Amino acid sequence: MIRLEEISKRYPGGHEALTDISLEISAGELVYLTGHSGAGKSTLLKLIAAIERPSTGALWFHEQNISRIQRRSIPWLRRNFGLIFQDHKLLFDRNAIHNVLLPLEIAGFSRHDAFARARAALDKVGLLPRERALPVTLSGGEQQLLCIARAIATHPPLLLADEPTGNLDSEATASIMRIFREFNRTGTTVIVSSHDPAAILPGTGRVIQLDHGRVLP
Amino acid sequence: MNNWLMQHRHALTLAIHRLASTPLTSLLAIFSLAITLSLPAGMAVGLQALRFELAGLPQQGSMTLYLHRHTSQADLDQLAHDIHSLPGLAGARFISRTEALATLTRHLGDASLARELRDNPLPDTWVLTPSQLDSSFASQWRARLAQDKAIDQIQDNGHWIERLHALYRLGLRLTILLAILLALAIVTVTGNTTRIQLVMRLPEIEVSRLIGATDQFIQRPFLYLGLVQGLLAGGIAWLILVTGILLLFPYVASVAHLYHSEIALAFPPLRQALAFCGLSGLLGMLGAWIAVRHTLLVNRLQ
Repeated sequence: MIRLEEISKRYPGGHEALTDISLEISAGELVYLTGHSGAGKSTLLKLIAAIERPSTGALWFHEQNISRIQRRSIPWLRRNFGLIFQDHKLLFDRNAIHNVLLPLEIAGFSRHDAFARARAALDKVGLLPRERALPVTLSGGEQQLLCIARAIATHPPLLLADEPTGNLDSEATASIMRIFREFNRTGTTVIVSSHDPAAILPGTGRVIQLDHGRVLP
Repeated sequence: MNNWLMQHRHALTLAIHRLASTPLTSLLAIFSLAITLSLPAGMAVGLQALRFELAGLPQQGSMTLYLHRHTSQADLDQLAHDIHSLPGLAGARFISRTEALATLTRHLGDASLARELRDNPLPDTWVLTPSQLDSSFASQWRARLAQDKAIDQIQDNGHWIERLHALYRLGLRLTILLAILLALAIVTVTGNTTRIQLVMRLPEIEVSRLIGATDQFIQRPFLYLGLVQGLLAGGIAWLILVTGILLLFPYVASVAHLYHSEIALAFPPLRQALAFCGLSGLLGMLGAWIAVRHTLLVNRLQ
Protein backbone atom coordinates (compact mmCIF):
# COMPACT_ATOMS: atom_id res chain seq x y z
CA MET A 1 0.00 0.00 0.00
CA ILE A 2 2.80 2.42 0.95
CA ARG A 3 6.38 2.13 -0.24
CA LEU A 4 9.22 4.47 0.67
CA GLU A 5 12.36 4.27 -1.45
CA GLU A 6 15.45 5.98 0.00
CA ILE A 7 13.43 8.89 1.29
CA SER A 8 15.30 11.84 2.79
CA LYS A 9 13.91 15.11 4.03
CA ARG A 10 16.12 18.11 4.51
CA TYR A 11 14.61 21.39 5.73
CA PRO A 12 15.84 24.82 4.67
CA GLY A 13 18.77 25.59 6.95
CA GLY A 14 20.23 22.13 6.50
CA HIS A 15 18.49 20.08 9.21
CA GLU A 16 17.98 16.57 7.92
CA ALA A 17 14.84 15.10 9.51
CA LEU A 18 14.90 11.81 7.60
CA THR A 19 17.79 10.00 5.92
CA ASP A 20 17.50 7.19 3.38
CA ILE A 21 14.31 5.65 4.70
CA SER A 22 13.14 2.60 2.78
CA LEU A 23 10.20 0.60 4.01
CA GLU A 24 6.93 -0.92 2.89
CA ILE A 25 3.58 -0.99 4.66
CA SER A 26 0.94 -3.43 3.43
CA ALA A 27 -2.79 -2.86 3.37
CA GLY A 28 -4.44 -3.87 6.64
CA GLU A 29 -1.29 -3.45 8.74
CA LEU A 30 -1.12 -1.71 12.11
CA VAL A 31 2.21 0.09 12.34
CA TYR A 32 3.62 1.87 15.35
CA LEU A 33 6.24 4.52 14.62
CA THR A 34 8.27 5.05 17.73
CA GLY A 35 11.27 7.07 18.75
CA HIS A 36 12.12 10.03 20.87
CA SER A 37 11.21 13.60 19.99
CA GLY A 38 12.96 14.72 16.82
CA ALA A 39 13.40 11.16 15.55
CA GLY A 40 11.44 11.98 12.39
CA LYS A 41 8.08 10.32 13.15
CA SER A 42 5.94 13.37 12.40
CA THR A 43 7.97 14.21 9.30
CA LEU A 44 7.43 10.69 7.97
CA LEU A 45 3.67 10.96 8.50
CA LYS A 46 3.63 14.40 6.86
CA LEU A 47 5.39 12.98 3.81
CA ILE A 48 2.88 10.14 3.54
CA ALA A 49 -0.01 12.60 3.87
CA ALA A 50 1.59 14.87 1.22
CA ILE A 51 1.72 17.73 3.71
CA GLU A 52 5.41 17.95 2.87
CA ARG A 53 7.50 16.61 0.03
CA PRO A 54 10.63 14.51 0.37
CA SER A 55 13.94 16.09 -0.64
CA THR A 56 15.04 12.87 -2.35
CA GLY A 57 13.62 9.41 -2.94
CA ALA A 58 10.23 8.16 -4.00
CA LEU A 59 7.09 7.58 -1.96
CA TRP A 60 4.38 5.37 -3.39
CA PHE A 61 0.78 5.13 -2.28
CA HIS A 62 -0.71 2.20 -4.14
CA GLU A 63 0.84 2.77 -7.57
CA GLN A 64 1.02 6.55 -7.34
CA ASN A 65 4.32 8.31 -6.69
CA ILE A 66 3.13 10.96 -4.25
CA SER A 67 6.56 12.55 -3.91
CA ARG A 68 5.95 13.99 -7.35
CA ILE A 69 2.21 14.54 -7.09
CA GLN A 70 0.79 17.72 -8.63
CA ARG A 71 -0.51 20.24 -6.14
CA ARG A 72 -4.05 20.13 -7.50
CA SER A 73 -4.18 16.34 -7.00
CA ILE A 74 -3.24 16.46 -3.32
CA PRO A 75 -6.82 17.04 -2.00
CA TRP A 76 -8.05 13.95 -3.83
CA LEU A 77 -5.14 11.92 -2.43
CA ARG A 78 -5.83 13.12 1.11
CA ARG A 79 -9.41 11.87 0.94
CA ASN A 80 -7.86 8.40 1.24
CA PHE A 81 -6.42 9.29 4.62
CA GLY A 82 -7.89 9.85 8.03
CA LEU A 83 -5.54 12.31 9.74
CA ILE A 84 -5.34 12.52 13.51
CA PHE A 85 -3.21 15.24 15.04
CA GLN A 86 -1.72 15.67 18.46
CA ASP A 87 -3.21 19.16 18.66
CA HIS A 88 -6.54 17.82 17.30
CA LYS A 89 -7.06 20.71 14.86
CA LEU A 90 -10.74 20.93 15.76
CA LEU A 91 -12.93 23.85 14.77
CA PHE A 92 -13.93 25.50 18.01
CA ASP A 93 -16.89 27.43 16.59
CA ARG A 94 -18.58 24.20 15.47
CA ASN A 95 -20.07 21.57 17.71
CA ALA A 96 -18.90 17.96 17.76
CA ILE A 97 -21.12 16.65 15.00
CA HIS A 98 -20.36 19.60 12.71
CA ASN A 99 -16.63 18.96 13.17
CA VAL A 100 -17.20 15.37 12.06
CA LEU A 101 -19.39 16.54 9.17
CA LEU A 102 -16.56 18.60 7.63
CA PRO A 103 -14.74 15.77 5.76
CA LEU A 104 -18.11 14.37 4.71
CA GLU A 105 -19.13 17.73 3.22
CA ILE A 106 -15.77 17.94 1.46
CA ALA A 107 -16.26 14.42 0.08
CA GLY A 108 -19.70 15.46 -1.19
CA PHE A 109 -21.97 13.21 0.84
CA SER A 110 -25.65 14.16 0.86
CA ARG A 111 -26.83 15.90 4.01
CA HIS A 112 -28.76 12.84 5.14
CA ASP A 113 -25.87 10.42 4.54
CA ALA A 114 -23.37 12.81 6.07
CA PHE A 115 -25.33 13.10 9.30
CA ALA A 116 -25.82 9.32 9.46
CA ARG A 117 -22.09 8.71 8.97
CA ALA A 118 -21.09 11.44 11.41
CA ARG A 119 -23.35 9.96 14.10
CA ALA A 120 -21.98 6.48 13.42
CA ALA A 121 -18.42 7.80 13.76
CA LEU A 122 -19.24 9.58 17.01
CA ASP A 123 -20.92 6.42 18.26
CA LYS A 124 -17.82 4.35 17.49
CA VAL A 125 -15.66 6.57 19.69
CA GLY A 126 -18.36 6.89 22.37
CA LEU A 127 -19.10 10.57 21.80
CA LEU A 128 -22.61 10.34 20.38
CA PRO A 129 -24.25 11.63 23.59
CA ARG A 130 -22.10 14.75 23.24
CA GLU A 131 -22.76 15.42 19.55
CA ARG A 132 -23.98 18.98 20.22
CA ALA A 133 -21.13 19.86 22.58
CA LEU A 134 -18.62 22.47 21.53
CA PRO A 135 -15.02 21.20 21.53
CA VAL A 136 -14.08 23.66 24.27
CA THR A 137 -16.42 21.84 26.66
CA LEU A 138 -14.76 18.46 25.97
CA SER A 139 -11.80 17.05 27.91
CA GLY A 140 -8.43 16.49 26.19
CA GLY A 141 -9.23 12.81 25.72
CA GLU A 142 -12.68 13.56 24.32
CA GLN A 143 -11.21 16.12 21.93
CA GLN A 144 -8.84 13.47 20.65
CA LEU A 145 -11.76 11.04 20.28
CA LEU A 146 -13.60 13.70 18.31
CA CYS A 147 -10.56 14.10 16.07
CA ILE A 148 -10.57 10.32 15.53
CA ALA A 149 -14.31 10.38 14.75
CA ARG A 150 -13.66 13.06 12.13
CA ALA A 151 -10.84 10.96 10.66
CA ILE A 152 -12.90 7.78 10.36
CA ALA A 153 -16.19 9.35 9.22
CA THR A 154 -15.47 8.82 5.52
CA HIS A 155 -14.16 5.28 6.11
CA PRO A 156 -10.70 5.99 4.68
CA PRO A 157 -8.47 3.01 3.89
CA LEU A 158 -5.55 4.57 5.81
CA LEU A 159 -5.46 6.21 9.23
CA LEU A 160 -2.43 8.35 10.08
CA ALA A 161 -2.21 9.35 13.73
CA ASP A 162 0.56 11.66 14.86
CA GLU A 163 1.16 11.39 18.62
CA PRO A 164 -2.57 10.90 19.27
CA THR A 165 -1.98 10.19 22.94
CA GLY A 166 0.67 12.84 23.52
CA ASN A 167 -1.17 14.80 26.19
CA LEU A 168 -3.38 12.05 27.63
CA ASP A 169 -3.23 10.00 30.78
CA SER A 170 -2.56 6.26 30.64
CA GLU A 171 -6.23 5.29 30.80
CA ALA A 172 -7.23 7.55 27.91
CA THR A 173 -4.12 6.44 25.99
CA ALA A 174 -5.07 2.78 26.33
CA SER A 175 -8.65 3.52 25.31
CA ILE A 176 -7.56 5.35 22.14
CA MET A 177 -5.04 2.67 21.19
CA ARG A 178 -7.79 0.05 21.56
CA ILE A 179 -9.94 2.07 19.17
CA PHE A 180 -7.12 2.05 16.60
CA ARG A 181 -6.76 -1.69 17.08
CA GLU A 182 -10.49 -2.14 16.43
CA PHE A 183 -10.36 -0.12 13.23
CA ASN A 184 -7.37 -2.13 12.10
CA ARG A 185 -9.32 -5.35 12.69
CA THR A 186 -11.97 -4.12 10.24
CA GLY A 187 -9.29 -3.84 7.54
CA THR A 188 -8.17 -0.22 7.88
CA THR A 189 -4.43 0.34 7.62
CA VAL A 190 -3.32 2.30 10.68
CA ILE A 191 -0.03 4.10 11.24
CA VAL A 192 0.37 5.55 14.70
CA SER A 193 3.35 7.53 15.87
CA SER A 194 4.17 7.73 19.55
CA HIS A 195 7.21 8.58 21.61
CA ASP A 196 5.71 6.59 24.50
CA PRO A 197 6.53 2.84 24.36
CA ALA A 198 3.73 2.23 26.88
CA ALA A 199 1.19 3.33 24.27
CA ILE A 200 1.95 0.33 22.08
CA LEU A 201 -0.39 -2.60 22.52
CA PRO A 202 1.98 -5.58 22.57
CA GLY A 203 1.59 -8.10 19.79
CA THR A 204 -0.94 -6.07 17.82
CA GLY A 205 1.22 -4.62 15.05
CA ARG A 206 4.61 -3.88 13.58
CA VAL A 207 6.89 -1.50 15.43
CA ILE A 208 9.18 0.73 13.39
CA GLN A 209 11.67 2.58 15.50
CA LEU A 210 13.20 5.79 14.26
CA ASP A 211 16.29 7.49 15.59
CA HIS A 212 17.75 10.72 14.24
CA GLY A 213 15.86 10.29 11.01
CA ARG A 214 16.90 6.69 10.37
CA VAL A 215 15.06 3.39 10.82
CA LEU A 216 16.69 1.27 13.49
CA PRO A 217 17.17 -2.34 12.44
CA MET B 1 -29.49 15.66 -6.13
CA ASN B 2 -26.15 15.35 -7.85
CA ASN B 3 -22.92 15.99 -6.03
CA TRP B 4 -22.10 19.21 -7.88
CA LEU B 5 -25.44 20.82 -7.07
CA MET B 6 -25.21 19.66 -3.49
CA GLN B 7 -21.77 21.22 -3.04
CA HIS B 8 -23.10 24.52 -4.43
CA ARG B 9 -26.16 24.42 -2.20
CA HIS B 10 -23.93 23.74 0.77
CA ALA B 11 -21.64 26.66 -0.17
CA LEU B 12 -24.60 29.02 -0.63
CA THR B 13 -26.12 27.99 2.71
CA LEU B 14 -22.75 28.50 4.40
CA ALA B 15 -22.39 31.95 2.77
CA ILE B 16 -25.84 33.05 3.96
CA HIS B 17 -25.11 31.66 7.41
CA ARG B 18 -21.83 33.60 7.56
CA LEU B 19 -23.57 36.77 6.41
CA ALA B 20 -26.28 36.31 9.04
CA SER B 21 -23.76 35.52 11.77
CA THR B 22 -22.51 39.14 11.71
CA PRO B 23 -25.76 41.01 10.92
CA LEU B 24 -24.65 44.56 11.70
CA THR B 25 -21.35 44.33 9.81
CA SER B 26 -23.10 42.69 6.87
CA LEU B 27 -25.88 45.29 6.79
CA LEU B 28 -23.42 48.18 6.93
CA ALA B 29 -21.36 46.71 4.12
CA ILE B 30 -24.44 45.98 1.98
CA PHE B 31 -25.90 49.46 2.54
CA SER B 32 -22.64 51.17 1.67
CA LEU B 33 -22.55 49.12 -1.54
CA ALA B 34 -26.19 49.95 -2.27
CA ILE B 35 -25.64 53.70 -1.85
CA THR B 36 -22.57 53.49 -4.07
CA LEU B 37 -24.57 51.69 -6.74
CA SER B 38 -27.55 54.03 -6.57
CA LEU B 39 -25.49 57.10 -7.54
CA PRO B 40 -24.66 56.16 -11.15
CA ALA B 41 -28.07 54.46 -11.48
CA GLY B 42 -29.77 57.74 -10.47
CA MET B 43 -27.65 59.70 -12.93
CA ALA B 44 -28.55 57.21 -15.65
CA VAL B 45 -32.27 57.70 -14.95
CA GLY B 46 -31.83 61.50 -15.21
CA LEU B 47 -29.92 61.16 -18.45
CA GLN B 48 -32.55 58.81 -19.84
CA ALA B 49 -35.19 61.48 -19.22
CA LEU B 50 -32.99 64.08 -20.92
CA ARG B 51 -32.42 61.75 -23.86
CA PHE B 52 -36.17 61.38 -24.39
CA GLU B 53 -36.53 65.14 -24.25
CA LEU B 54 -33.72 65.63 -26.78
CA ALA B 55 -35.28 63.10 -29.11
CA GLY B 56 -38.44 65.23 -29.20
CA LEU B 57 -36.56 68.38 -30.18
CA PRO B 58 -35.84 69.35 -33.80
CA GLN B 59 -32.61 67.67 -34.78
CA GLN B 60 -31.53 70.68 -36.89
CA GLY B 61 -31.09 74.14 -35.54
CA SER B 62 -31.99 77.08 -37.70
CA MET B 63 -30.68 80.53 -38.53
CA THR B 64 -32.94 83.53 -38.98
CA LEU B 65 -31.88 86.47 -41.15
CA TYR B 66 -33.74 89.71 -40.43
CA LEU B 67 -33.56 92.04 -43.43
CA HIS B 68 -33.33 95.80 -43.59
CA ARG B 69 -36.58 97.49 -44.44
CA HIS B 70 -36.65 99.24 -47.79
CA THR B 71 -34.14 96.87 -49.32
CA SER B 72 -33.89 97.02 -53.08
CA GLN B 73 -35.11 94.11 -55.17
CA ALA B 74 -31.60 93.67 -56.54
CA ASP B 75 -30.19 93.22 -53.04
CA LEU B 76 -32.99 90.80 -52.22
CA ASP B 77 -32.22 88.77 -55.33
CA GLN B 78 -28.50 88.79 -54.54
CA LEU B 79 -29.26 87.56 -51.01
CA ALA B 80 -31.51 84.77 -52.30
CA HIS B 81 -28.72 83.71 -54.62
CA ASP B 82 -26.15 83.80 -51.82
CA ILE B 83 -28.41 81.79 -49.54
CA HIS B 84 -28.93 78.98 -52.04
CA SER B 85 -25.22 78.64 -52.55
CA LEU B 86 -24.55 78.12 -48.81
CA PRO B 87 -22.85 74.77 -47.94
CA GLY B 88 -24.87 72.25 -45.92
CA LEU B 89 -28.18 74.00 -46.47
CA ALA B 90 -31.18 71.72 -46.02
CA GLY B 91 -33.87 74.32 -46.50
CA ALA B 92 -34.51 78.06 -46.74
CA ARG B 93 -37.84 79.80 -46.34
CA PHE B 94 -38.60 83.43 -47.01
CA ILE B 95 -41.18 85.01 -44.71
CA SER B 96 -42.35 88.37 -45.94
CA ARG B 97 -43.16 91.09 -43.42
CA THR B 98 -46.82 90.88 -44.46
CA GLU B 99 -46.88 87.14 -43.78
CA ALA B 100 -45.08 87.69 -40.48
CA LEU B 101 -47.63 90.25 -39.35
CA ALA B 102 -50.49 87.93 -40.32
CA THR B 103 -48.92 85.14 -38.29
CA LEU B 104 -48.42 87.47 -35.33
CA THR B 105 -51.99 88.64 -35.52
CA ARG B 106 -53.20 85.06 -35.66
CA HIS B 107 -51.09 84.19 -32.60
CA LEU B 108 -52.30 87.20 -30.66
CA GLY B 109 -55.90 86.46 -31.60
CA ASP B 110 -56.69 90.18 -31.81
CA ALA B 111 -57.03 91.56 -35.36
CA SER B 112 -57.76 95.09 -34.14
CA LEU B 113 -54.23 95.37 -32.80
CA ALA B 114 -52.76 94.95 -36.29
CA ARG B 115 -55.28 97.36 -37.77
CA GLU B 116 -54.26 100.03 -35.27
CA LEU B 117 -50.65 99.92 -36.42
CA ARG B 118 -49.88 102.71 -38.82
CA ASP B 119 -47.10 100.73 -40.40
CA ASN B 120 -46.00 97.08 -40.33
CA PRO B 121 -42.96 97.13 -38.00
CA LEU B 122 -41.81 93.60 -38.86
CA PRO B 123 -38.94 92.96 -41.28
CA ASP B 124 -38.73 90.43 -44.08
CA THR B 125 -36.92 87.31 -42.89
CA TRP B 126 -35.22 84.23 -44.19
CA VAL B 127 -35.19 81.04 -42.03
CA LEU B 128 -32.30 78.74 -42.98
CA THR B 129 -32.05 75.11 -41.88
CA PRO B 130 -28.72 73.22 -41.98
CA SER B 131 -28.57 69.58 -43.07
CA GLN B 132 -27.20 68.59 -39.65
CA LEU B 133 -26.77 70.01 -36.17
CA ASP B 134 -23.33 71.48 -36.42
CA SER B 135 -22.20 74.88 -35.25
CA SER B 136 -19.49 75.00 -37.95
CA PHE B 137 -22.23 75.66 -40.55
CA ALA B 138 -23.52 78.59 -38.53
CA SER B 139 -20.11 80.26 -38.38
CA GLN B 140 -19.46 79.57 -42.09
CA TRP B 141 -22.83 81.01 -43.03
CA ARG B 142 -22.30 84.04 -40.86
CA ALA B 143 -18.97 84.72 -42.57
CA ARG B 144 -20.45 84.38 -46.04
CA LEU B 145 -23.55 86.45 -45.38
CA ALA B 146 -21.80 89.20 -43.43
CA GLN B 147 -21.25 91.32 -46.58
CA ASP B 148 -24.88 91.15 -47.74
CA LYS B 149 -26.34 94.62 -47.62
CA ALA B 150 -29.88 93.30 -47.21
CA ILE B 151 -29.22 91.68 -43.82
CA ASP B 152 -29.83 93.70 -40.70
CA GLN B 153 -29.38 90.97 -38.08
CA ILE B 154 -28.50 87.28 -37.97
CA GLN B 155 -29.91 85.09 -35.21
CA ASP B 156 -28.65 81.56 -34.65
CA ASN B 157 -31.44 79.41 -33.22
CA GLY B 158 -29.49 76.11 -33.10
CA HIS B 159 -27.00 76.91 -30.38
CA TRP B 160 -29.10 75.95 -27.40
CA ILE B 161 -30.03 72.56 -28.88
CA GLU B 162 -26.40 71.89 -29.59
CA ARG B 163 -25.49 72.98 -26.07
CA LEU B 164 -28.11 70.64 -24.66
CA HIS B 165 -26.71 67.77 -26.73
CA ALA B 166 -23.19 68.62 -25.57
CA LEU B 167 -24.37 68.68 -21.96
CA TYR B 168 -26.06 65.32 -22.48
CA ARG B 169 -22.87 63.85 -23.94
CA LEU B 170 -20.85 65.24 -21.04
CA GLY B 171 -23.35 63.84 -18.52
CA LEU B 172 -23.23 60.46 -20.23
CA ARG B 173 -19.46 60.31 -20.05
CA LEU B 174 -19.45 61.47 -16.44
CA THR B 175 -21.98 58.77 -15.57
CA ILE B 176 -19.90 56.10 -17.33
CA LEU B 177 -16.75 57.28 -15.57
CA LEU B 178 -18.52 57.38 -12.22
CA ALA B 179 -20.02 53.94 -12.83
CA ILE B 180 -16.58 52.49 -13.60
CA LEU B 181 -15.03 54.09 -10.51
CA LEU B 182 -17.87 52.97 -8.27
CA ALA B 183 -17.75 49.47 -9.76
CA LEU B 184 -14.10 49.38 -8.73
CA ALA B 185 -15.17 50.60 -5.29
CA ILE B 186 -17.67 47.73 -5.05
CA VAL B 187 -15.01 45.21 -6.04
CA THR B 188 -12.70 46.71 -3.41
CA VAL B 189 -15.31 46.77 -0.63
CA THR B 190 -16.51 43.20 -1.22
CA GLY B 191 -12.91 42.11 -1.62
CA ASN B 192 -12.07 43.61 1.74
CA THR B 193 -15.07 42.11 3.57
CA THR B 194 -14.25 38.74 2.04
CA ARG B 195 -10.61 39.09 3.07
CA ILE B 196 -11.66 39.78 6.67
CA GLN B 197 -13.89 36.69 6.62
CA LEU B 198 -11.03 34.67 5.15
CA VAL B 199 -8.55 35.79 7.78
CA MET B 200 -11.09 34.93 10.49
CA ARG B 201 -11.45 31.46 8.99
CA LEU B 202 -7.83 30.60 8.26
CA PRO B 203 -7.77 27.77 10.87
CA GLU B 204 -10.85 26.24 9.23
CA ILE B 205 -9.23 26.59 5.81
CA GLU B 206 -6.05 24.93 7.07
CA VAL B 207 -7.99 21.98 8.55
CA SER B 208 -10.16 21.68 5.44
CA ARG B 209 -7.07 21.49 3.26
CA LEU B 210 -5.53 18.83 5.46
CA ILE B 211 -8.58 16.63 5.15
CA GLY B 212 -8.94 16.89 1.41
CA ALA B 213 -10.70 20.13 0.52
CA THR B 214 -9.90 21.46 -2.92
CA ASP B 215 -9.29 25.16 -3.52
CA GLN B 216 -12.70 25.28 -5.23
CA PHE B 217 -14.40 23.87 -2.13
CA ILE B 218 -12.70 26.49 0.05
CA GLN B 219 -13.38 29.36 -2.36
CA ARG B 220 -17.00 28.58 -3.12
CA PRO B 221 -18.68 29.90 0.07
CA PHE B 222 -16.65 33.11 -0.16
CA LEU B 223 -17.62 33.61 -3.80
CA TYR B 224 -21.26 33.08 -2.88
CA LEU B 225 -20.77 35.56 -0.03
CA GLY B 226 -19.62 38.19 -2.55
CA LEU B 227 -22.45 37.28 -4.92
CA VAL B 228 -25.14 37.46 -2.24
CA GLN B 229 -23.77 40.76 -0.92
CA GLY B 230 -23.74 42.18 -4.45
CA LEU B 231 -27.27 40.96 -5.24
CA LEU B 232 -28.67 42.35 -2.00
CA ALA B 233 -26.83 45.65 -2.54
CA GLY B 234 -28.22 45.80 -6.10
CA GLY B 235 -31.77 45.19 -4.83
CA ILE B 236 -31.49 47.84 -2.12
CA ALA B 237 -29.91 50.30 -4.58
CA TRP B 238 -32.90 49.75 -6.84
CA LEU B 239 -35.26 50.48 -3.97
CA ILE B 240 -33.32 53.68 -3.22
CA LEU B 241 -33.61 54.64 -6.88
CA VAL B 242 -37.35 53.98 -7.06
CA THR B 243 -37.90 55.93 -3.83
CA GLY B 244 -35.83 58.80 -5.24
CA ILE B 245 -37.89 58.87 -8.45
CA LEU B 246 -41.15 58.84 -6.47
CA LEU B 247 -39.96 61.70 -4.27
CA LEU B 248 -38.55 63.84 -7.10
CA PHE B 249 -41.20 63.12 -9.74
CA PRO B 250 -43.62 66.00 -8.89
CA TYR B 251 -40.78 68.53 -8.57
CA VAL B 252 -39.21 67.57 -11.90
CA ALA B 253 -42.67 67.72 -13.52
CA SER B 254 -43.37 71.22 -12.19
CA VAL B 255 -39.96 72.53 -13.35
CA ALA B 256 -40.51 70.92 -16.75
CA HIS B 257 -43.93 72.54 -17.00
CA LEU B 258 -42.39 75.99 -16.50
CA TYR B 259 -40.21 75.34 -19.56
CA HIS B 260 -43.11 73.89 -21.59
CA SER B 261 -41.31 70.57 -21.48
CA GLU B 262 -42.68 67.07 -21.10
CA ILE B 263 -39.49 65.88 -19.40
CA ALA B 264 -40.24 63.33 -16.66
CA LEU B 265 -38.36 60.70 -14.63
CA ALA B 266 -39.39 57.22 -15.69
CA PHE B 267 -39.17 53.98 -13.72
CA PRO B 268 -36.67 51.74 -15.50
CA PRO B 269 -38.18 48.46 -16.70
CA LEU B 270 -37.90 45.20 -14.75
CA ARG B 271 -35.42 43.79 -17.26
CA GLN B 272 -33.02 46.63 -16.44
CA ALA B 273 -33.57 46.12 -12.72
CA LEU B 274 -32.65 42.45 -13.03
CA ALA B 275 -29.60 43.23 -15.17
CA PHE B 276 -28.53 45.86 -12.62
CA CYS B 277 -28.82 43.41 -9.71
CA GLY B 278 -27.04 40.72 -11.74
CA LEU B 279 -24.17 43.07 -12.56
CA SER B 280 -23.92 44.11 -8.94
CA GLY B 281 -23.82 40.44 -7.90
CA LEU B 282 -21.07 39.73 -10.42
CA LEU B 283 -19.02 42.69 -9.15
CA GLY B 284 -19.39 41.39 -5.61
CA MET B 285 -18.27 37.96 -6.76
CA LEU B 286 -15.30 39.44 -8.61
CA GLY B 287 -14.17 41.27 -5.45
CA ALA B 288 -14.53 38.07 -3.43
CA TRP B 289 -12.64 36.07 -6.06
CA ILE B 290 -9.69 38.49 -6.04
CA ALA B 291 -9.55 38.42 -2.22
CA VAL B 292 -9.83 34.63 -2.05
CA ARG B 293 -7.17 34.02 -4.70
CA HIS B 294 -4.80 36.48 -3.08
CA THR B 295 -5.34 35.26 0.50
CA LEU B 296 -5.15 31.58 -0.40
CA LEU B 297 -1.99 32.17 -2.41
CA VAL B 298 -0.32 34.13 0.41
CA ASN B 299 -1.48 31.51 2.91
CA ARG B 300 -0.08 28.72 0.75
CA LEU B 301 3.25 30.50 0.32
CA GLN B 302 3.51 30.93 4.09
